[in-house]
Amino acid sequence: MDVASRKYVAKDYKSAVKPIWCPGCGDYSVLSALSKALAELALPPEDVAVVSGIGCSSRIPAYTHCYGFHGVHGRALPIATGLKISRPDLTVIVTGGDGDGFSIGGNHFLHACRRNVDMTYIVMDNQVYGMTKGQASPTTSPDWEGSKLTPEGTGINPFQPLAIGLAAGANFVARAFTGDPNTLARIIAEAVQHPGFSLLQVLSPCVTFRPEQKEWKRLVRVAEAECTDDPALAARHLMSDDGFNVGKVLYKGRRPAFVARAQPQPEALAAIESEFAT
Amino acid sequence: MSGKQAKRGIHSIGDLLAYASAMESEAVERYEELAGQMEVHHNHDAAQFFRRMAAIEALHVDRLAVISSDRSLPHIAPWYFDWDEPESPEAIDSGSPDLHYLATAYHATGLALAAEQRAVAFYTRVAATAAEAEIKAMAERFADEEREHVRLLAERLAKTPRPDAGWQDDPDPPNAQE
Repeated sequence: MDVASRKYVAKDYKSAVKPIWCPGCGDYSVLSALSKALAELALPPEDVAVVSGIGCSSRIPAYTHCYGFHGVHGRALPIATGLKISRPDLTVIVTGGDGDGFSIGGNHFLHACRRNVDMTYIVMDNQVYGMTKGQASPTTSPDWEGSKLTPEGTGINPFQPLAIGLAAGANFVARAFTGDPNTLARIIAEAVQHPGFSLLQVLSPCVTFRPEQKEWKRLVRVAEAECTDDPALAARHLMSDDGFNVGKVLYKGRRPAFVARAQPQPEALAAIESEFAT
Repeated sequence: MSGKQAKRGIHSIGDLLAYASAMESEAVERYEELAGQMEVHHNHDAAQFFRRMAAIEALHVDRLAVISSDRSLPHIAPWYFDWDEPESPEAIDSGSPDLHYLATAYHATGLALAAEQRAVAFYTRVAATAAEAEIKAMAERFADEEREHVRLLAERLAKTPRPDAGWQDDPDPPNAQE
């Protein structure tokens, strides 16, 4: 393909709304990578829905030119599930943070992995609640003392999103880093193309409440493990993982994506609409 | 789409122009993004500088379009470019420590200067490894142009006041925990 025959460029997926993230925030790279991935996949913006919950990273739908749904805290996945079931023609992408996804929405996360509905879940993991000014999140290390709420650290084992997602049935598991947006774009494109529930953990530094995360660019390394379709092998890799192996897809499962047996009945939808109208 | 697929190197004039076009286009987008970030934080000096740089880079995009008008450029997916860094040389790293909401014109100019220096290094490397004389000549020409940008920005940086020691001080910082 040549440049002239391309249908879309990354800019076609960005809205005119200026992000209000802090300069240096990793989420800018995710927005950029998502736009590039969608352009490469040549998906019409009107055929893509970006669904989110609450948090800094959950603002992404407003910054895209796709359909968007800025939902309630922790509830992005059930909203996205309902959308995909009722409109299977749409490409559904869910975006959010570690607190939104793994704490408030933790139970939805488990069951979304189980259900294996065809969607892509991009979790911008900065190990902190940024929007509420820096509290420990589910993925925060137990000895982080940066919050007045947990001055001696949480003392709690951090949530392991990929291992838990894999165990719960996610059909695609990968980790990426915002410091390498082009690799991130490639993995997003792969995640979107893979059938079923795709889980992508993105290490996305919070430069305001976790300034030490600027060091992540020196700590991350390209994962040695190659992609497998064997969940046991993928689990073994994850159990010996320090969280900084990035840039590769770890697992691509072969489970067929969930397909709803019953289709929505137009007359039932009309009845609901008239009920709301009265 | 596989991550194992090799990067696409520069083996023709079309490849080189595709690289150059991607570099300049990404520079425009990044400068616009940075200008927007600074405007949101009411940092007008840095915003103005980044806007100006976006406009300048846009002229380079236009110029490359003219140079490329008589040929078909290959489309290269972003992850198949063989850049020296994770992103194209003129795209300022979104995670740079100098990208602070209180960044001064000095910081902004320094970031732009570093981006142009990376572009010089990139084209110099392409010229040094080019298998064809035509590619080498064009890469050298592009490197010379980037050197001129480096010179202009270095001059500007020299005239820009250095920030005070307490440039990051904010009496009401956004990371204050109540």
